[in-house]
Amino acid sequence: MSETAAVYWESIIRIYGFKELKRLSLFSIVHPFERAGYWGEQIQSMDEGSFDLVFVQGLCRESAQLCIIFEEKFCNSCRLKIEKAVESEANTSCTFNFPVEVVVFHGPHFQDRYGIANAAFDVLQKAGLPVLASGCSGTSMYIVLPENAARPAIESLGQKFVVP
Amino acid sequence: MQEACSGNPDKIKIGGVKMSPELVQINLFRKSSPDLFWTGLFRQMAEDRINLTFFTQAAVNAGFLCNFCVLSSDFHRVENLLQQEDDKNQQVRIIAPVGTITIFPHHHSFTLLGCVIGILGRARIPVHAVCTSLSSVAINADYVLLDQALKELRKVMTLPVNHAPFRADLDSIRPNSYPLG
Repeated sequence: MSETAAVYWESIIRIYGFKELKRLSLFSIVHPFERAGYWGEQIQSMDEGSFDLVFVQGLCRESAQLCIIFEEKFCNSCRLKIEKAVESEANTSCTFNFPVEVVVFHGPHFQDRYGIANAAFDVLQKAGLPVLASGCSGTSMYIVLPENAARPAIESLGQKFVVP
Repeated sequence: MQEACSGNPDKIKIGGVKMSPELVQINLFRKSSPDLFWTGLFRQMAEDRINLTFFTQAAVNAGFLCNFCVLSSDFHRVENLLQQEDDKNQQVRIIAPVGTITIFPHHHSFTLLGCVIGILGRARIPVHAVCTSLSSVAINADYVLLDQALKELRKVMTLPVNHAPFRADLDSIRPNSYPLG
């Protein structure tokens, strides 16, 4: 069985649509790299909620950053669990940001095509919109913005991305 | 689902797993920088037709951090671009070779996601980065440990019986086979 990676460039990039999510919570936890297993268990214990975006990124050889974005309705219960989990850990810190907004979009073969991330961040930077966080894997792009910034971000992204 | 991770024989049913070819992960950190500090590099990479297979970024420790991956075969060109930047305020960490395991669907479930990160952590398989998408979760680990990571994950997950090969046999990647604007 074989797959074909479709690689092409478009001046205006076709997407399947924009989704705008509002009143979300953004947690950023910086923890020792070797405590990934512990944080996996903590994430697992938040089973009453569901996430919109989660990513982990390497900060340096010794530490990693875990970012979790979820809806307001899960905020109280999940926040308590996260803050309790942080308290018992050495060299671990947490920041909390509420409310934030997220713009999500996805398009054909985004995982194989060059220039997609550049097109998105270029217009956001030119528009002067502050980007709090982003996660792009597979064919999806998630862009996390401050309150009231999702709508202007979609308008700016419309210069480069179109729903046919 | 949670019980599957703590030893219950009931495994988590998933739709599938894919494994990437060899990649290089690049971690960039810049203190006291504006957000989107990497846009110059990304612009040059787009001009050079270099694809990002994975990307995350966020503010951290009074600076900005981004992680991204490129195909191993593209890395030397990215390395050249990084050397041209020669930015003293920027810390660069290269992890190579890595690979991405993609598990789908995640159903936005903390249980599944936590289970995946937890089991790899307990098995001492370094997870260099993770990112969820609309339906899947992508995990970056050392390329040489991908098979071991999959073995660990299969202890708690059940795959469909007619699952496609984990590593796609990519037909060809032909950047010039489509009109380039």
